[in-house]
Amino acid sequence: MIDKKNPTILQMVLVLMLIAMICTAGVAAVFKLTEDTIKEQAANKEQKMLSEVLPEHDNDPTKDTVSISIGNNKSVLCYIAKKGNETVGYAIKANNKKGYNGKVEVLVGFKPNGTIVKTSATVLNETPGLGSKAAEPKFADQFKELNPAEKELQVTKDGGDIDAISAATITSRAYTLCVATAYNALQTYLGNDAAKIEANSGATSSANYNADERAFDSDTLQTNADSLQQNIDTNSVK
Amino acid sequence: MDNKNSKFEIFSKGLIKENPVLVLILGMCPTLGVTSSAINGLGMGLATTFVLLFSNIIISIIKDLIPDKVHIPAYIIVIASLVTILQLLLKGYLPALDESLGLFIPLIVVNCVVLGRAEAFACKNNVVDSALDGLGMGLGFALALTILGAIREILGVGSIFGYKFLAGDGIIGFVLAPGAFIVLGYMVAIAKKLKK
Repeated sequence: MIDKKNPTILQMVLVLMLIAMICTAGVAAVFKLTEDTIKEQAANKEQKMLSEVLPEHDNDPTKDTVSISIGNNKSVLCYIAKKGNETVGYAIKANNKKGYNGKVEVLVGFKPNGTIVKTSATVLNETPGLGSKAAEPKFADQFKELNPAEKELQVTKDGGDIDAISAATITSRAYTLCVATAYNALQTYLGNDAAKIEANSGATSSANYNADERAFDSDTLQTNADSLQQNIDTNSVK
Repeated sequence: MDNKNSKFEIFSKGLIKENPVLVLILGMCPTLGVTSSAINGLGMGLATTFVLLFSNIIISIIKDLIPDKVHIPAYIIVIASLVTILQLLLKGYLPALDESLGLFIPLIVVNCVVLGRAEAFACKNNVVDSALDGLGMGLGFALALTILGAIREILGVGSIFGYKFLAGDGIIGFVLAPGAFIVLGYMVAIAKKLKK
C-alpha cells in the first residue's frame, strides 16, 4: 500500500490523479443534473423582469429581440412586446460603467410613443444603503410614465428633472444615463425623425457630462504638473 | 468522560468554546464581507456548514490513502469540488441567495475554517467524529455570522431578516465595512469575557 511518510513520486502522482478524477466526475455529474434548472431559473428571471417593465402583452418578448447599434461598436438588446399583431411596447437593456462600483445595467420599458412604462435595475452593485437605493421605488419610480421628450433626462444637479439619491449622485447619474441611452436607442430603432432630435439632445447632454469629466481630469493633470514643476524648482535651489 | 459525552463535546465545542469566528478568528473574509444583513449571514453560514460537513467526512475517509507530502493539494481539490457543487445547486434552486452572496461562494474554497478543520481534525479522527466536528464548527460559524448580520441590519437599516420595523434610514455606517469591524470587535470581546 501507500507509504504515508516516504511515498515515491509515482504514488503521489497516482493518488492526486485519482482524487482529481473522482472530484471532476462528481462536479460534472452535478453540473449535468442542475444545468436545465439553472437555465430555467435564468429564463424565468428574465421573463419576470420583462413582464414588470412592459405593458400587457401576449407574445414572448425573450424570443422577439433585436440588437440596436448605438455607436462606438456598442449595441443594446431590445425586446419587443406584442398583443396580437400590434406592438405594445419595447424593453431595452442599457448599461454603462459609470456607477460608483462599476457596471450599472437598467432594463427600461417603453410604450410605442416613447413614454417610459417602468425601469428596473438588472445589474446594480452599488454601496449598500446609499447607491443601492437606486433600485427602490422612491428613485426608480420617477421614471414611471415619464416621456423623455418632455423632460430632461438628467439629475437636478446637472440641470435635469430627476432627483438624485442623496449621497449617491454618481449612481443616480449612471442610472439616468442608462435610461437616456435606452431612449436614444429606441428612437434610432424607430427611425423617428421628430423624436430623434430629442434623442440627440439627450446624447449631447451625456456627451457634455463626459466633456466635463475630461476637463476635470486635465485640471488635475495640470495641478500635478504644477506641483512637479515646483518640486523640481525646490530641488534645484537645494 | 463516557463516550456519549465526548461525542457531544466534539459537536458543541464549535458552537461556543472554539467558535471559529469569535474564538479561533478564522474565515474573516466572508465574516466581514457578507454580513450586511442577517439573511446573508445565515445563508453564508449554512453554505459553509455544507462544505465543512462533507469535506470533513470525505477527508477522514481518504486520509489513509494520501501521502503526507501531497495532503494539502488533495484536500484543496476535495474542497474546491464541493464548493463548485454547492454553487451549482444554489444557482439552480436558490438563485436569490446565490445572487446576494455572489463572489463569496467560490471564496469558501480558501476559507481557513474549512482547510483548518481538515488539517486539525478530520485527518486525525474517524468519520463520525469528523462529521460532528464539521457540523458543529459550521453551525458555530453560521451562528456568529447570523448574529453579526442581524446586529448590523438592525442598526444600519432598522430591519431584521428583511422585516422593517423602523421607518427611515438607520446608521448607514453599520451596513458598510466599518460597521462590520466594530460589531465583530465587540462580539469577540464579549465572547472572551463569557469564556472566562
